[in-house]
Amino acid sequence: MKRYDIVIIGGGPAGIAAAIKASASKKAILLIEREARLGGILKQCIHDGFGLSRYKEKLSGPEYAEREIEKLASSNIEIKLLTFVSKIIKTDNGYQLSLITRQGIEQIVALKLILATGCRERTGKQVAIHGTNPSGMLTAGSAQYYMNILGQMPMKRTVILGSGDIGLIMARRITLEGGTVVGVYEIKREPSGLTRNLIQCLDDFNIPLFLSKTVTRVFGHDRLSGVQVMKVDEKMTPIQGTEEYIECDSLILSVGLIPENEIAETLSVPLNQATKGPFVDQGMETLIDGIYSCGNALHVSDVADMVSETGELAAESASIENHGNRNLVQIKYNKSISYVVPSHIDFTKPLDKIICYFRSAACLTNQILKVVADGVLIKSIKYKQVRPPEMERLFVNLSNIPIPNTIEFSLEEVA
Amino acid sequence: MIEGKRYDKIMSEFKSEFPTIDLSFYDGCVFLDGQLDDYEQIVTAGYLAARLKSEGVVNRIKLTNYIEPKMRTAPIVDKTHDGQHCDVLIIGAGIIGCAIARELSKYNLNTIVVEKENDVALHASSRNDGVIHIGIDLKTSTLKHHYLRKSVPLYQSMCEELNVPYVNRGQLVLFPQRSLRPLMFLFNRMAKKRHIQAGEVWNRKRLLEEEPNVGEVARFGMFFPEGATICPYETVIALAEHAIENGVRFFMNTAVLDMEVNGGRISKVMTNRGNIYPRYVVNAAGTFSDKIAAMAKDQTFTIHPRKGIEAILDKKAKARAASRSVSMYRGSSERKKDHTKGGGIIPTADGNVLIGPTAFETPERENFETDSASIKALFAKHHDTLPHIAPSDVITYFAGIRAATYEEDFVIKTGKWTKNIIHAAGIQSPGLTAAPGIAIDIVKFIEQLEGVPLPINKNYQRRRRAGQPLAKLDDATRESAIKQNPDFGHIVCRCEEISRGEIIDALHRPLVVATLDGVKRRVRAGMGRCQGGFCGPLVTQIIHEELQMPYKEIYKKGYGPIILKATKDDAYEAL
Repeated sequence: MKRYDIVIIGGGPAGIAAAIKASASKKAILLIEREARLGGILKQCIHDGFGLSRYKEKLSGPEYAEREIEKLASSNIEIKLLTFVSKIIKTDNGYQLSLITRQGIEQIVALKLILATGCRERTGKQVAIHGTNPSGMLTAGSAQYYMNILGQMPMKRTVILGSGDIGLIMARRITLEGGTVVGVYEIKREPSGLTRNLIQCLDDFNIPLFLSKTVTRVFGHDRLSGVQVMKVDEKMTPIQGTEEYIECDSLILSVGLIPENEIAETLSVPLNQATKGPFVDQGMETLIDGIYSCGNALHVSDVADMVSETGELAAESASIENHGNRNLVQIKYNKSISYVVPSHIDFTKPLDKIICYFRSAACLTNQILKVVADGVLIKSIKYKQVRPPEMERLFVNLSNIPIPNTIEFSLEEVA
Repeated sequence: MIEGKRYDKIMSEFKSEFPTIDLSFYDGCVFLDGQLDDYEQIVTAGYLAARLKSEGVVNRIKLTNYIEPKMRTAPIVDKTHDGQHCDVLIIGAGIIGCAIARELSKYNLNTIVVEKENDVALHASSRNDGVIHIGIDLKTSTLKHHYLRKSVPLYQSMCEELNVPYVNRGQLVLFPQRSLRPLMFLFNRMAKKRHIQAGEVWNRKRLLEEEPNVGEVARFGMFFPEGATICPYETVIALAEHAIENGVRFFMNTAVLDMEVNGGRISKVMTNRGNIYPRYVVNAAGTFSDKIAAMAKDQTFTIHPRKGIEAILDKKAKARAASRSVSMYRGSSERKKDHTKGGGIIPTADGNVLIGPTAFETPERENFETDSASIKALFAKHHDTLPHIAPSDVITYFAGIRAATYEEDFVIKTGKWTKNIIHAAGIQSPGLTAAPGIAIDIVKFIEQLEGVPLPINKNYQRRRRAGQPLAKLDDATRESAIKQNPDFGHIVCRCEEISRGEIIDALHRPLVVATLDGVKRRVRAGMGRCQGGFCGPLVTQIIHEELQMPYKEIYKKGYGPIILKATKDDAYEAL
């Protein structure tokens, strides 16, 4: 059985970045990807806007992936493509993985695991869309694969449910290909996507956005023939009597992404209900020693640049030999914040340049974020505006303080 | 037919409740004619007439201002099957039609199955919970009971021959009142009378040892070791494939539109794909079986469709569900109200958890729309059974329509007025369980009509040729399969771990249905938690490449195209 120091599962931007970083450690590294090519979902994201912080350039998804893959090529680490991790079991000194490949079944042993398994899209049935079950109801990512990889249009006249970034990007993409987007419907009172996408994808193409409205029913037997939309109240419950019929041939769903943590669950990695990803420390190590999580499997990021960054953080800390027990302090946060990543700080890991991400729980203006350890203010940042769709990123230095009992993030209105 | 005072009482009740409805008798059957404004009333009239215990109720009462939707058929009109002669024509490829076809394939007969859909088991046969019932609640005088008892002992070996799973984990009924416990001997008396293996009483402690997730309200349980589950569509597909391997022909997308009946015999069956000339006709047309009977001038029963909705939960929910089918005892009044066995929470043969079904009357025979109120009602109803499963576990839901008669029993008989038709109609639960027994009797009826023993098919192969899903194989077997065909090592559907090789194989099986759903129902690609979000486009691509089909002609199901146009002409081909 072949042994590796670090096995990275998933060859998207997080996994690639982790592999590049880990290669510097001169350890035995393996990167596993189930598809024929590296790049993950970037391969089908032919729009631009990738790499603004990582490369200071506006790249398309495939271009971003290519840059990363080029860096990886010079690193000489082992890559297994078309390889599916079927099973992982904990052994005395690591993990035994069953790999399904076109050559057969291979067993390998890993000392440490980096899970970079990405996320999946929530489906129509998971957001309680009823009616018939016709062809023409697709998640935005599937529609994107059909259009950008296969060169086929699964729609002509479409309704998009959900104003998340993929939904907005697909609205523009469909319009550019000669399709008609009747409208983008969003159940929340606020749009879910990045501001730049709202402008560049909807406003610039005169695509209407309807807030506090959702699709409740689809019509058509073999092929979708129309949808019913309804207004919703503050609790997002459809209001009777507001039914509206819209004729269309397709419904594209952009109703949320779910981090893929099925492997993590089989390894009993504790998951954070707020992120749907594992609890991790600043080195992206989960609460199970030796298992790291990064990218969209950890928490759904706004941009690929941040996905790559968490991959690097995971690889960096996985490359360091562990000495003794971790010393974990959980980060607390107030109600204005929906989550903070990392969820924990390990005081045995480097503490001087901790990268923290957080999302606000609501759209708020004139806010101040305070980081407080045992009552001592460590850092404060003012924000003119915070929005849940836009993740905030900051550095925190905890190296000069005694190990605290509590660390708290709070977002408050500027007095 | 009942007589005397009871007859008078029902007749007078009928006249006062339904003064405008004409109730008449002909040759042992009851006929209802007229018009009512409320569909529920039409159903009530049918049930009341059924209490006369005639040979059958033919309810022809019209609903005011209601135009019955036309039976959905494939958008094909051609002469592909025109002029075909056969010994037996089976109408309908659900589990009943396919079980009969397979049974008939043991004989040297020219058998044809016509099915209006593009795949088998697209109606009630796949839209159910997959439970092989024990039937403790069935009256012993019913055909439901008769065929269930006849079939249960045959089931496991049938599944072995077909190479499909048959999962026997038993069935657990929970009781909310401790006071019912002394009455359990009555259940076992009922079981004994029905030749069901006796149930075992589990006290709360044993219950929690066996099924730690059951609700607080369950005071004790009764465990019946017999109950089992199958995968309903996989089993029907297997029955059809086995029949085809043994010489039966299946004509898909072929709907029976009318018949010619001369001198008490069907001489010609008209379809959208030409006229077929059978010697015998088997009516296994599900919710349309009364329509087929009417075409054959042999209608002695009426189907009043009864819809039910069920939800499928993520495999992960299994840890919070039970290891066997569980339901809460509801008392007979509640059960009568909703006309189901009460429903329950069932671990499916494929490893998911299923919750359901609901039941409500509808005039529509093939409207499979779901609604959110039904799903909410399901979770509310079964919350006390297993409180830790939640609506957030749902990965999909579906509706099915039961082909109920007013007698609430199967119709298994040769024609009354038309001599060469055999009905296998009015099939609802426990129809899935009863199929093998029904099939044997239908063949017997044909033999009786022939008057001589049917010629044996000497080439009959007892076992279906079929491979196992690779993910279920042990490593060594899987490894050698991959060595022979590397496509078996290329995983396409990651949720269910289905390989490219299995998907390609599904496109070359005895009954090829080259749609996304056709592949999904055969190898489970797309059945998992992402519901084909990832593998849908990949499977479409494999169909396109493997069968050289243009993208625009690949459908999700039926005739629903996936692709409406290319972004650029032949963009993909140019790559």
